Amino acid sequence: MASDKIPGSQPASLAVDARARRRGRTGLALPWESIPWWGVIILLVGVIVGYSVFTSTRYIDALYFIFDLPWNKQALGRLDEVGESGAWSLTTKPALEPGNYTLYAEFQDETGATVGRSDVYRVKVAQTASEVETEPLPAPGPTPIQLQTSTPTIAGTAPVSATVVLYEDFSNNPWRVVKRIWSANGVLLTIRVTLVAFAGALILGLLFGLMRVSNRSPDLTLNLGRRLLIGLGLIALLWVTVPAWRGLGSLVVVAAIVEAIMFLLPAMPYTFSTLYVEMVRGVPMLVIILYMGFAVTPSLRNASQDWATGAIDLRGLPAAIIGLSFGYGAYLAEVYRAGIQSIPKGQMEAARSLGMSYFQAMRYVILPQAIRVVLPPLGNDFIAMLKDSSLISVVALPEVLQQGRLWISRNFRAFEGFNSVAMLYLVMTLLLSLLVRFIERKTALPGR
Amino acid sequence: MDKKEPIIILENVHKRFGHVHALRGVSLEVYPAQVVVVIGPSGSGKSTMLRCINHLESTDSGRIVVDGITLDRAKNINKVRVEVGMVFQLFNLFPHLTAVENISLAQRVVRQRSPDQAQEIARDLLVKVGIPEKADSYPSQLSGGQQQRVAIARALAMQPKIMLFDEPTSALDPEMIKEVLDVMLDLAKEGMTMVVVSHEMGFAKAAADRMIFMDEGAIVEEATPENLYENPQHERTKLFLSKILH
Repeated sequence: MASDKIPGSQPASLAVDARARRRGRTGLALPWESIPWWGVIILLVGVIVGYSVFTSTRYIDALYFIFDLPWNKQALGRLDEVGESGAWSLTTKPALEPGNYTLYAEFQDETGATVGRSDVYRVKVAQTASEVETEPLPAPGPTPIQLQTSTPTIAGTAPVSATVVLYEDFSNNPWRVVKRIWSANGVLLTIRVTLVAFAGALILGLLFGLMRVSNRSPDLTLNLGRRLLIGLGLIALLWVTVPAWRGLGSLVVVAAIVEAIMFLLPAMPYTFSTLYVEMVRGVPMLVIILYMGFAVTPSLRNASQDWATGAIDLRGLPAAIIGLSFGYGAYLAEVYRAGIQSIPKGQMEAARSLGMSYFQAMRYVILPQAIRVVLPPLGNDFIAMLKDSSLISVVALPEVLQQGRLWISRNFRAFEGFNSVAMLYLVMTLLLSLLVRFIERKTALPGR
Repeated sequence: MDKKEPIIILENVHKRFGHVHALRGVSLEVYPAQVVVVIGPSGSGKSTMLRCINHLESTDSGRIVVDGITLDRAKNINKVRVEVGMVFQLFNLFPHLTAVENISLAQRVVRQRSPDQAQEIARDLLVKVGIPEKADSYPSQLSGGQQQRVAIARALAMQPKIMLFDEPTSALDPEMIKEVLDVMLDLAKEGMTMVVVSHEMGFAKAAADRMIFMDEGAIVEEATPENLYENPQHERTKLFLSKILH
């Protein structure tokens, strides 16, 4: 035995091995199971904080920028290079809405470090206030200063050649802070886009997944007469609403198409969903996002400009979210299909034999089981989507990558910038896989 | 219900699976409170016939009337299925639900019973099939016999007029067969109309009013259990029985 040859204390690794053996595992293994999930999070955050603090203040600056901090104040004015006298004066811009505000100025040196602060003014802008120029505010007292102007001016003295930034501090207003965090760029935008787009993709995928498992060659004669009759109604409706199609030639074409669709209607779900999956899956995500951002949504806006309801403008963020959902819906449809088809046929038969309809059986019997099967691949796609959300930077949305690149272009520090971006994605994906594992454990059935 | 009116009528039913002609003109009448046991070699169409009665398989031609409702491809199928309980060879319990939830799900969804009422009925039925203590167990925690008894309770919860059993004991360990057959015997004594595909001779002799021997998609012989087992008329029946009775 090794411990016979080495005098002195037992090596530490033996304790780990003993623990692993107790768990029925042999060989070299870290006791990951004995570290709680929050321990892993603390570990990760510790690594990040340690990494950024102990390497360089550049990283702090980059992370600060990518997180779009601060979240508790808003710059209302800026004055570069205070003159020899040190005197400065700043007027808020834009004008303040009626309400209570906390205003102060911060003095920064040329590296951006804070070197001093002005007095803190608490003001109350009256309901009747207007944008008039006024004298600088008097020295602050214990009670808020009542203002009849919505553009107050603050003046004072600062160190020579400092930069003065006028801030409105809303730390004491939780609602404002929440609103600011909600609209923050960088990490929070990435999280927001991923959550919304994935929710959309889940719904889209489920819809198309259910269509994919529908009958691919149904009985077309079932209710055929009623379908064709509805087709006639649709043709009449088109005749009334679209004057351009009233010519005999186009009417024949329209009628033929409508009736053909009505004839093939029972087979449509399978055919249509297969078309969607095969087409969308075969187009790169980047192309889909560019397509949505620069082709579909701008032309939709142009087309809807003259409508009475107003133009539908989905450019920017909505376009990116729609593009991601649309693209990932195709993958998730296949995931759902695999999950549904992995449930033994007998389950559907048992449910149907109890008198449940097809959709009741799906809802109460098949899907609850299928969801458990597809959780790991869904988590996989969730993580993939988080990473693919970096693609929306091509439509000029300030998510993590875009913020990182902006920071790099200002500081000419490519390594620090891209390292921060990569680290942030890594932390987010690791946390996500922890979450997925947690959900898997929570939904697992006994004895499985 | 009038005793003379058959509750299940099959008239010249044909069913094809691709090139396989699974049912070749099956005609059968089952009267209320009758127990019919179906035997036959594998592939003879026993299960297919049972599944056609429940419309889990559609027929190619012929007519099936269950409880006065003619099965066609229209929307009356669910109405019929509520009146017809089915028990499967592989139990087909819902693995994500406990025994009680398995039994109460369809009551809530199809019969529109309140959760409390459905639970109460479920627990009563579990007492009836002899496993009240397993109410909150998941199927994976039950033995085969217990699972099949839960499956029977699940079908009974819909208060069907007819029960179909598709080889209910052939996936069970020998020790567990009796507990399932006992439940089925009780049901037969209570006057449930039953069509049972099973080769359990003891059950057939104790409960069956009629026995049917099927081969190659057709009914070959129909007799009382005593006559069929002791005095089979048809050559094919004799051959089959000589192989299963040892």
